[in-house]
Amino acid sequence: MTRPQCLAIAFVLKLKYLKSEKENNSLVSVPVIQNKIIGVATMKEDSYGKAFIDLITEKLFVNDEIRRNFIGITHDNAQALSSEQKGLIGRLKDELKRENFMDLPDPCHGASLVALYQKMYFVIRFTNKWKTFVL
Amino acid sequence: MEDIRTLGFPQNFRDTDEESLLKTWDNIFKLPKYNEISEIVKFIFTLPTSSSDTEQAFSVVKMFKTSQRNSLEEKSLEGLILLQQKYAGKTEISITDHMVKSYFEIRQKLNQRKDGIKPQAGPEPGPVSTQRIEQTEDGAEREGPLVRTHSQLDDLQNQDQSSRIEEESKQDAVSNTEYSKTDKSQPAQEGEMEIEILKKKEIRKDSDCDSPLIKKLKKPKVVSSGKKKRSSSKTPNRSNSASKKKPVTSTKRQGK
Repeated sequence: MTRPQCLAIAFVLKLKYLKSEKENNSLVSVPVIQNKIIGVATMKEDSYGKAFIDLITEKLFVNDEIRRNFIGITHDNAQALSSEQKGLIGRLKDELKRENFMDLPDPCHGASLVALYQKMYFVIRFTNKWKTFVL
Repeated sequence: MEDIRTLGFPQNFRDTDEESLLKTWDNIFKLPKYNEISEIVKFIFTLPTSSSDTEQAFSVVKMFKTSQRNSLEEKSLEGLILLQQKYAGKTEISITDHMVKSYFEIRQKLNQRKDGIKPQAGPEPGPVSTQRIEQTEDGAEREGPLVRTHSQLDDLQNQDQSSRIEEESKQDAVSNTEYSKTDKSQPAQEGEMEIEILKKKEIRKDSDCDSPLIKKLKKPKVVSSGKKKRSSSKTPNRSNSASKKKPVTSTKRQGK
C-alpha cells in the first residue's frame, strides 16, 4: 500500500506467512504466523500498476518457492491496485498464471474512511443545526 | 469428532489466539481423517483479511521519516525499519566484528565527505580471497585461493600491528642510544623548539603545564620582572626628567 509521507509517497510491503518454529526444549516444530515488513520504497509520481509490480518482483519474488506459495493480496481498493486490466491485480494474475489467486479488497478501509468523513460532517451539521435551533 | 475434542479444540473461539488455534489445527493435521481440512485452515490463516497491518507499517515509517529526516534514502529507511522490526523489545543485541568494521568504514567515509575528500573505493565486505602457495603432499607448490573470515583477518592485522610496534620500539631504542652517545646538543635545540611553539600558543596559565621545559618559560616572566626593574629604573628617570623639568620651571620662575 502507499501513503504520502513527508512530500514523498511511501510504499510498504508487508507479508503474512507461516513459519515452522521449534518450541523451547522440544524437537517438534510448530507452525507460527509471521507478519513482517518485507520492503519499503519511496515512489515518485508513478504510483500505477507497473511500478507496483516492479517493486514486488524486486523485493518479494526473490525465490521461485515464494512465487509458488504466493496466494493472495489485500489492498485498500485503490484503482491502481484493484484494476483487472492495468492494475496490480491484473498484472499479478498475468505473471503468476494462476486462477486461484485471492484478491481481497479491504471492506473496512472504505467504511472507516466513510465513517471518518461522516463524523466530521456530522459535527459541522450538528453545530449548524444547534445554532439555528438556539437562534 | 471425539478425536478433535480430545486434542483440546477450543470451545470459545473468541478467547483464543491465532497461534493456539494453529497448534490445535496442527495436531489435527496429524490425524489421517482431517488431513485436508487443516491444510485449508492453514491457508485461510495466512490470508490477510484487512489492510490494517500495512497501516501499522505506515505508522512505523512515520516514526523514522519525519519532516526533519526527510532526505533519508530508500536503503537507509528500509534498513532502519527492518532493524527496528528485528530488535524491537530485545535487550541483548549481538554485535559482530564485521558490523564494527563496516561501521568504522562508513564513519571514515562520512568524515572524508565532510572534509571534502572523495572517498576511496574500499574492499567490499564478505569473504576475502587471496592467492597463496599451497604445498601438496608430494612437496610441489601450487597456487590456490585462500578464503579467510573477517575474524582471521583481524587477527592477522593485530599481529602485523604488534610486530610493527615492536620494530618501531626497537628502532627508537637504538636511535636513543646513538643519540645519547653522539649528540648532546640536540635536547637543547628541541627544548628551544618547544619553547617557541609554546610561545606561539601564548600560554598564559602556568598551572596547566608541569613539564620542566615549560618551566623554562617562566624565565621570560622573570624577564618581565626585569621589565619591572626597568620600569623601576625608568621611574627615577621620570623623576630625573621631572627633576630636570622642575629646574626649568624654577628657572622660568626665576626668570619671571
